[in-house]
Amino acid sequence: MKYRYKIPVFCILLLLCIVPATAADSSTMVEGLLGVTDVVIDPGEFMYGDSGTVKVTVTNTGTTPVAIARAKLYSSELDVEGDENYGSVGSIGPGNSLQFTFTITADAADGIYYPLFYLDLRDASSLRYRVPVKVENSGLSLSVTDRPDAFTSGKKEDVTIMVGNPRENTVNGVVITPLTNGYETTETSHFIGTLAPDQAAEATFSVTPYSETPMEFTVHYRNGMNDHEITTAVPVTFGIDRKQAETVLNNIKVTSEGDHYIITGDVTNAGLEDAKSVVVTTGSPATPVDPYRSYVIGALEPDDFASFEATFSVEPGTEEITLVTSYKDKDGNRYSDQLGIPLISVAFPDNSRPVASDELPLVWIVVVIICTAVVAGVIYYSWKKK
Amino acid sequence: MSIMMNIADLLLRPAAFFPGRLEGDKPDLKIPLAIVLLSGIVGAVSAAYMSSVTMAMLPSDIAGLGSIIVGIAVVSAFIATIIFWVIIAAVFHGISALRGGKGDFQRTLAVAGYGTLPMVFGSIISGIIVYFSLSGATIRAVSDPLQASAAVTELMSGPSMMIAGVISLLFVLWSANIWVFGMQEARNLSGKDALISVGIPVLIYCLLIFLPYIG
Repeated sequence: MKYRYKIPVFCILLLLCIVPATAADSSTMVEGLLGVTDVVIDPGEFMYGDSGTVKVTVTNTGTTPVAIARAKLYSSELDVEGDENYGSVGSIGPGNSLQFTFTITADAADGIYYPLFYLDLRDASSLRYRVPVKVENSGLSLSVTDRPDAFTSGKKEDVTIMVGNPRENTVNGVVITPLTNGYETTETSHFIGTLAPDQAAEATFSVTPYSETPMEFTVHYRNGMNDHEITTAVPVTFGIDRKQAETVLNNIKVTSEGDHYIITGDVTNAGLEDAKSVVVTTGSPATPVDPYRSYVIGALEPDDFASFEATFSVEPGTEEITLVTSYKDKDGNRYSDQLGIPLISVAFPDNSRPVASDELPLVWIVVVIICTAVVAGVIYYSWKKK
Repeated sequence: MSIMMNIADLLLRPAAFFPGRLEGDKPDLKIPLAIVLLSGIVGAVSAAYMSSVTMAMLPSDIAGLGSIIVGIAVVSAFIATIIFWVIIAAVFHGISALRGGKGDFQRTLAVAGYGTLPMVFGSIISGIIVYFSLSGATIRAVSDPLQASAAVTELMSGPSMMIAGVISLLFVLWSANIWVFGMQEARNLSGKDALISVGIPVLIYCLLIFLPYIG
């Protein structure tokens, strides 16, 4: 009888010992079935002052729901916002995931920071997870890859800008914008778009400088949702383009015809670029006249030459005229060269005193009168003395 | 002195000059020929200058022939003077024959030669006028032959050139006066017939000279 009572008591005591142990094992299992399965940081790499998001995904891989009290992201270096949204989360069912998004601002120096993701569970347990956040303040690389040897005021030239991304994350919305300070551009901007890490893109601008002010180009881009810009300047120094077309005049002959002159010669392109719309005419003090007021040659390739003929008139006593050669480059910029041509070796068409002078000198009239008198006197005398 | 007196008689008293110098049918032609040659030389010099002026109007490629053309002009002017002498004598002789003139052609030739002397003076004075006129004017080259012709016409129609023509005409009249007296002696003509014989061709000659100015 005595052992008959001892066996149930022993079982009860054994059960009492087992239940707390079973209860303690149940809490550990719940916590162990809840884990961080994904972390997304946007942007992938912060610049100083950038704001971005940290998205932490928690998944319940267990078979029972897990009650969550709150979620927080702790960081002593970075500013964290948005954790107040997770003061009372609720529970996460088995097989389900919850994503917690926090906004952080990288007001810190370059480096890698580890904010703590803390998930407080209702059963007095918690889940902790360190999220690595990288702060790197270096921006895009901007360089000039092509530009003319020398600029000429008013002449359109090509300037090529290269944008490179030395960062570890992709940047978006990359746009190169010329500031048009002292110059004009055909393109108002050049959109590149996404620039992957260690990638580069080029943009060519047709610029026309008007002053020796450095040309500034600004690259706007977004790192995540943060706008950034970087500016580069292209120094502008006016000079002679070593490749530009150069017209050389030779074999020049000036002859007079009627009341005007004819000037003939050859014009040669001694430059390295094409000279287009080459026109030869005469300048002051000469006045172009028909039939060849201006002689249009057209295009001249390098080392090519063509003959020209122009007609002009000048005021009496003119000793030198100006021969003007103008041409355009491929962009339509007009250039002009002038050459003085002496007229000393040419017979002057003196309009005020033509070949046979219109003036009747008084001395000739006197000579006629004298001769008339002499002849009349002689004839009279000879007949009188007959 | 005698030569100077003879020249003065020829120019001023031709009525007294010719008697005695046209003896026989074959008078001495040396002096008339010398006068004509002198006239030819003066004419050749004038032609040389005028042709050089004309060459200055021509294009440079033709102007290279300048010396040849000037040479041709000089020779032509000289020969033309001699031919003119013969022709004018022939005309005088022919017209005077119609007026009943008697005498050998050589006598008429001598008269025509003597009478050329005032024209030599006229050519010299005219040449001086032309020279000074053109040296003060501009000569411009002309490439078009038509324009060259027009330029020459312009050159010849200027006031100074007209003055030169008037001077020449005056001395032609002086020569005509001598010819009239000479033809009376050489062809035994009356004063009226001699005047007609000389006047008609001289009048035609004058008209030919001045037609360009009148036209």
